[in-house]
Amino acid sequence: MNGSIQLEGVVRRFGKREVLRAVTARAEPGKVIGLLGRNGEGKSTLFKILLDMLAADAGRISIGGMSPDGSGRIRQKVGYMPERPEFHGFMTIEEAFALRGRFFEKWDRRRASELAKRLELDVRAPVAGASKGMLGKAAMICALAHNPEILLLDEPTSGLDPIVRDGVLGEIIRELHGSGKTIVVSNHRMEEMGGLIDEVWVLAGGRIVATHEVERLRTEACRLVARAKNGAYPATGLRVVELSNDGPLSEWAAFDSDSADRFSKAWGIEAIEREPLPLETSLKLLLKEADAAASEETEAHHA
Amino acid sequence: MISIDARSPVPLYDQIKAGFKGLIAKGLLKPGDPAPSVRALADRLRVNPNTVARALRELALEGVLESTRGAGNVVAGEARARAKDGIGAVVLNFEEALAHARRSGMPWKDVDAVVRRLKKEE
Amino acid sequence: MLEIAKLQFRKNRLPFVGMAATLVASVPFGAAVALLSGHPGRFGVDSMLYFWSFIGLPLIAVLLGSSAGAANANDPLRSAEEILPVSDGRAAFASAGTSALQALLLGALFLGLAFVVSAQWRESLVLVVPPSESWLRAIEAPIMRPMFWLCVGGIPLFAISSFAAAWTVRNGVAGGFLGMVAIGAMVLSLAAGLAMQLFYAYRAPFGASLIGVLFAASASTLWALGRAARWLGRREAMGWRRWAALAAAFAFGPACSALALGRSWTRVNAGISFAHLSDSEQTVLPSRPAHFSLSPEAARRVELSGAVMRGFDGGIVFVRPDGSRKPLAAAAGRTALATVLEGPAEMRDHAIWDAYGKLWISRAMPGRDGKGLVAELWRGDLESGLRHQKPLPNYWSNQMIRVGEAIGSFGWTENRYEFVRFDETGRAVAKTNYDYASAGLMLDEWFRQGYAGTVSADRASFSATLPDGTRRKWRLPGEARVDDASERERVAVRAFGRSFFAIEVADAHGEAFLALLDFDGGVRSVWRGERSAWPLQEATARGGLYSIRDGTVFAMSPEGDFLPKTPIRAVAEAVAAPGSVRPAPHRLLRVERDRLWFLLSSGRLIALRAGDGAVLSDAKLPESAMFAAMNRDYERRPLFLEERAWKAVESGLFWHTGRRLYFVEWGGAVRDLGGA
Repeated sequence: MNGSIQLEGVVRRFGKREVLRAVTARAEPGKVIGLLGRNGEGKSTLFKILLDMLAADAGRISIGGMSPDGSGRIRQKVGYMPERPEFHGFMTIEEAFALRGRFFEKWDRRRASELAKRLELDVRAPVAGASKGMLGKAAMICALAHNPEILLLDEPTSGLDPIVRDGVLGEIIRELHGSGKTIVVSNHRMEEMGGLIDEVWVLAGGRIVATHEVERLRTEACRLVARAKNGAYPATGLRVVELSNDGPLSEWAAFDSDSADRFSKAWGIEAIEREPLPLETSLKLLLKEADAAASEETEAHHA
Repeated sequence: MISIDARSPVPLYDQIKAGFKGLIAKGLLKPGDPAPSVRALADRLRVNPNTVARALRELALEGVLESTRGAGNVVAGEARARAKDGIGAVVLNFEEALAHARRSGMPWKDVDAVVRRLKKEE
Repeated sequence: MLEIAKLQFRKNRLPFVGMAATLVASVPFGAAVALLSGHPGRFGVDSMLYFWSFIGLPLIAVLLGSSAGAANANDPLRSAEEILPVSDGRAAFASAGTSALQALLLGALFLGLAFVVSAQWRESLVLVVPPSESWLRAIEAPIMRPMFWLCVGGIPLFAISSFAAAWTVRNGVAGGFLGMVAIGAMVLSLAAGLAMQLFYAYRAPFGASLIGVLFAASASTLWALGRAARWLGRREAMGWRRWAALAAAFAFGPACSALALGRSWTRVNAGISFAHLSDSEQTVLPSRPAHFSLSPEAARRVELSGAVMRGFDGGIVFVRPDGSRKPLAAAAGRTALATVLEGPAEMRDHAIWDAYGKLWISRAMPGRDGKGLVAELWRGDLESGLRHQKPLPNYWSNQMIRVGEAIGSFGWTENRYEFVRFDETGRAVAKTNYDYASAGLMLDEWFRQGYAGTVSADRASFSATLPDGTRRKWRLPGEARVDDASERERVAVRAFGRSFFAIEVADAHGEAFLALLDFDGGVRSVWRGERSAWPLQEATARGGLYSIRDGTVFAMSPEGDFLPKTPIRAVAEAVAAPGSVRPAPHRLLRVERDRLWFLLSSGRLIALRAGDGAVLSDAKLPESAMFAAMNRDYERRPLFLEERAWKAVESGLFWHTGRRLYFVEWGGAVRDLGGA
């Protein structure tokens, strides 16, 4: 079973706006990828392209060994939980499941009801008038019940109360047992999945500007307080982000020990203090770094 | 029970191993007790089962867990000693950290304050 | 796809049920409204049924299609369904097809309802006669029937086209409007074409075009739907080319139907006919028809060797009994596109051979700039073809006249006749106006040409100029009967044989008879037919005169022999083709010394023995819808505009059916000469 995902130079425009410029990335089978990106940066677009629901304007895509061709076959093998799940308003949740059961070859009715029980979802409730939490649970079940090899989860916990959130998280973890599905998940509070994700892809400016192994981030990301001669900091060329600048001192973040070492030993640094950076913070800062890099590029592009 | 600190720079599998060894060192887990299932632990800790599996694997390699025929992994006989070793390493780290803090100018009363706080939190 | 269809059924359920309920409820509703306003309930019911037939059913199909298309293309349904593992194309086809199916079900419901509820419907399953109210009477029954069946049969197209349009533009109203307009335009064009076929079955065979158009429209609509689903479903980059392709596909059906209609109209108006050669008929006089056998030998030779035929494309050919054809004038008339844009253009040709074997044709055809009709004089011969000569005054009808050697055109406007005489190059040399009252209008001409003479004051002698120029005088065996012409001394010659004149003479008792005056000065013979036989009016192509009175034929051969009177009633059916109001006349085609050939209005060629009227041969001619239509409409068609489905020549009869051309020898053998 081929559970890998490969993207190469994927471009997508909406009108004049290039939402995805040249997205290139690779997910090995069985990996859990966290997709990090600001709102509106193209996360959902990327998902939809992977799901063959949106056509890429350029680039090569391979997911589960298949290329998107408009036939919809990809969606048999991929589970998708959209950011805003929609169901047919005239159905009950049960009927919505039944509908999907008729389309997805591997839909497992028993699994669906098991999941519903575990998530405490009343499937006889009508879709119209169901709460956000109920719909979120239902969407989760729809993503999982047909036993896909690959899961794409777009903000699976957003807007859900803590209990439901926890339930969803638990289901994701359960999916990782055994053969281990390939999962790409986007989450604004990525830290709540810190224990799950193997790798983080940072999407900014329409590109995957960086990928980091999460364990490395956890162990190596650090905060640096530095004092430089003449107030000049050798930040160019190094993967560091300036956090604050207060008089003679400035604070930096580095995401791997290599960059931290190079920065510490760089010419011009008089004194430096290093402290580990918690994962949650580095995830937040990664986005900031990417954002800055992206806008620099945009400015250079326009200039 | 084992817990992990998401904010710590220590790798998760290491934290799991340390937590496990801690329980053994404190006598809460005795030789012969079954090792926790990857499923349950991953679920409770909210971590990737692979991480848990790796931790248990390494514990088995270190001899803290041993596999029995038919019953899966159990706490090994010499676990307590091994665990203590592990604890020893942690104690060493702690001593080093305290020395480093003192060297950097941390007054004793601040050290006491930290200890008091941690005690309270527990 | 089946699952998508079932889902769509469920989604459309409410509008479907609502429409069905409205359909059923409209019947008692209509009855109630009628009764309340003092009309019989039946009228209200029928009005409702007519409403549904022409407006309601297409509207239902459009609404079902467009609402489904728009709903599917927009959130929340789009989001709810795009995750399903089906391609956009299949989903679109299944959904569109379901909407079409539901619309068809409603159509079937309507048909069943109408059949049960309305006696009018029960008698004739389709609409034939509208109810007797003025506003409905305005709709012609022949158009209603094809319109109705096209509306019913077009339901799937209405639904699918509206679905496709609504899906593409993501708007139900716009999509519905587009679909309605596109298919509605198509239905109207097709219905008009079909209606025309009812009138002109022989000229506008529309059946194949209809099927072709429906096929093309269906194919292009489905193509558009498939492409739109594929391209827009995944929001692919579109570009103007793709949008243009979609728009073209939507417009293809209506465009095809308009072109098919145009082609049909072009054919209808160009028509096929053997150009109305004067034979020996000259003109219609205002007061009475008078036909004279005054064709010079040279003209008659060419005339009788073949037929001048105008084909559907408006071109003119000369066709011979062996089937060989010589094109004389290129195709004219409007193209299909021009016909659609500017309307149909009728073509009228009227031709005549002159004494020198040259062919003159007055043509009314589309003007060179494509606007309106102009009358033109064309002239030429068999070797070099016809050439456009000059424009003619654009009268309502221009007839070519041959008077001896003179050629002229005779036309009439609203209040006068005008005769224009041409010289041999086609230049107009004289123009005379006649009002309706003046009767002897050709006398001057005939006198000039020698086909009229003068009588003495006592009317006992007659002087005339022979064709070769000699003047002669005859002593008449009675008193010349003078036409009520302006000049009392002038007498028109009744007949002109190869070697004689014939003029009408009255004896002492006042009884009229025909005196044949030989060119060498004597009286060859006298013919006392029955009084009622006068005057001998018709002439055949070869010459000879005849008249038919009370089922009896009185005839004179071109050589001047009088045939014994022959009964025809026993043979010919009294009634012409079914559907006509009064019998069309049978035509005498050929007179020989002992036999007569008739073309019966039932489409048979018979030869009768002169005298006892025994049938010597009887040939059934190939079925000709054109001939039948002509006979059916005979009373409506003025003689001079009569189209000919046949043309008699020396060796037989040309006969075309509107589809194929035949040559029938006098003995009855039929030869197929190919497509018309």
